[in-house]
Order: sequence, then C-alpha cells, then structure tokens
Amino acid sequence: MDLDNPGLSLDLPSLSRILRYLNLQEVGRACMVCKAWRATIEGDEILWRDLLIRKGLWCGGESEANFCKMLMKHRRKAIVSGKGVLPLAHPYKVLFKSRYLTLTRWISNPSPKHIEFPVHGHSVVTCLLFSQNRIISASDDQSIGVYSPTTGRLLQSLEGHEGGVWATSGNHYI
Amino acid sequence: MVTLVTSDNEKFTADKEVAERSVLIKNMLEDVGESDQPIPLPNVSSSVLKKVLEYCEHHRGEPLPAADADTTQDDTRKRTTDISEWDQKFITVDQEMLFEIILAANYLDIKSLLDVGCKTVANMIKGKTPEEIRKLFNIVNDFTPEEEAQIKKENEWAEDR
Repeated sequence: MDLDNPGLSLDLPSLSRILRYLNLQEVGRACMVCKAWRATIEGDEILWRDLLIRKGLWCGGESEANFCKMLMKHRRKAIVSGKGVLPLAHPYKVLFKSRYLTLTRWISNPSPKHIEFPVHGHSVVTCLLFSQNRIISASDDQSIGVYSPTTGRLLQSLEGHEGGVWATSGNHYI
Repeated sequence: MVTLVTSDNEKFTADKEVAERSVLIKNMLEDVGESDQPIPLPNVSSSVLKKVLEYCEHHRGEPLPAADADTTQDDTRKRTTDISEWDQKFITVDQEMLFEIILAANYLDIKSLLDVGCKTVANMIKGKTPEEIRKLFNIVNDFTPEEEAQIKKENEWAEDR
C-alpha cells in the first residue's frame, strides 16, 4: 500500500471482501495495481473457491483437496530459485486457471486452431505420445519423429531401430 | 438505552435494539449483563459512529444475517452488487469516510453495512484499468517495469471472455 498517502487507504482484509463482488476480468486487472493487491488476490482462497463455484468448475468430493495436496508437494520439492520474488498463488487459483482454460479452449472456443502435417509417409503410426510440449510418433518404418504441436515442424528424427517401433515412453528430457 | 463512547471521547446514546445490530456490541452487552456502564469503542470516531448509528436506526428490526452467511455456496451464486436506494444514498460519502465506514462495520461486526461498503468500492473498481484504479485510490505502482510486463502477461488469460 501507499505509505506516502496521507489519507486512509483501503486495508487488505477489506480488499478481500470487495474482490468477491468482481468478475474474473476485473480481478485480473486488480491484480496489476500493486504488489500488495497482487499478493492478496493471488493468495485469496475464498476468492478462487468462489470463482470455481461461480463458473461451474467446482467438482467437489476429494477433487480440489487432492489437487492442493499434489501441488504443495510439488512446490516443496522444487528448489526455491531467485526467480520467485513474487509470491506464489493459492492452489485454487492454479486450479481455476487450468480448469477455466480447459473449458474456454476446448468447449467454448468459437475458432479452434487445427493443423495437420504428414508423418512416416505411408507407414503405419504405431504409437503417439504427447509429452513436454512435444508430439512423439513412432512407426513400423523403424523411425521415431519428434514434432512441435504448434507448427508441426519435425524437431528431431530418431533412427536406429532395426524393426518397427511398437512402444514409446517419454521422460523429462524429451 | 445504551451509551457508546468514541475514540474522540464523545458519548452517544442509542436504543438497545439499534446498537445491537452490531454483533460486537450485542456480545459486549451480554457479557456485562444489565448495566448502565458506557461501552468504549476505541476504534471508531464520532463522525463515523454517527453515520453507523444512522444506518442501524434505519434498518432496526430487520432480521440479522446468519453468522456464516457468506461462506455458504448458495450465497456465492447469487452475489450481486445491487444496493437498495436508501443504502445507496447513505453511502454516498467521500472516499475516506467510505473506508472508515468499512473499517468500523468490520470492527463492530455489522455484516449488512460491511456488504454495502464493499459493494460500493467494488462498483468503483468495475470497468477500470489498473492505472485508473491506482489513480482512484491514490496507490503507487510499485512493480518494476520487468515485473509489470510479467504480470500483464500472466493475467492475459483472464481478459479473454
């Protein structure tokens, strides 16, 4: 908050109550006002829980609690780097964004993007993998191709199999 | 009658029914039992208490909301920023008074007044850009240009409708 402001400024607990009356777009804009507002908004459990409910994205049961548990575990493992100067968001915010974008991009997207590109000529594609933002396809033509999902460009061609490739599996390095 | 003493040492008297719209005062009265002792309100100034009592007087006799009303999912679904005509007129005050009323309503635990105050601020924020919000509330932008660019990018998804 503004320390030089001689007048009374909005206290953060009040801001939290006020946020509950805003829609998603307005919350997004309020996030850009200053550090204190951003931290309040990002970390506001009730705000994001409400938005999940209001947008019909609250699944109930163990769903949300399990997501929180998983994310916290993941965060504990991640080494705190110097990059994380700004505070982390509440798991409900992360969940909201993920579910909201799934909804808007897959279900209510008026102009979905569609690309097609040829792979493996006339040979049969035996397995297909989507991993680490790569499409990996293998074929009975003995080759494996790694493609960009946004452009379809061949990023890497893996040769060496002497027969058809029947299974693939990705890890963090692919 | 109940006697209330403000931070600037001014005494106010109000009907018990009016003063008890504040859950804080209601609980205090229950704790001390029958007594003429004035109730000190060190966090509320006389100008603010005058407004608060005006609000409580107007709404006397109306049912008080349940303690957990805003945590239920039902309340979440029907949340609007509509304010009744009288309340609207009542809350047409300068910004400093508005914030003081919100603080006092929170401290005194008068949920309906707190809601009116918060809805009013929400309506002020609606439709404004971050820069306009800063100007409105006299807030300094404390992000570095790099952080600002990052945050703008981070929030782009919320702008799509």
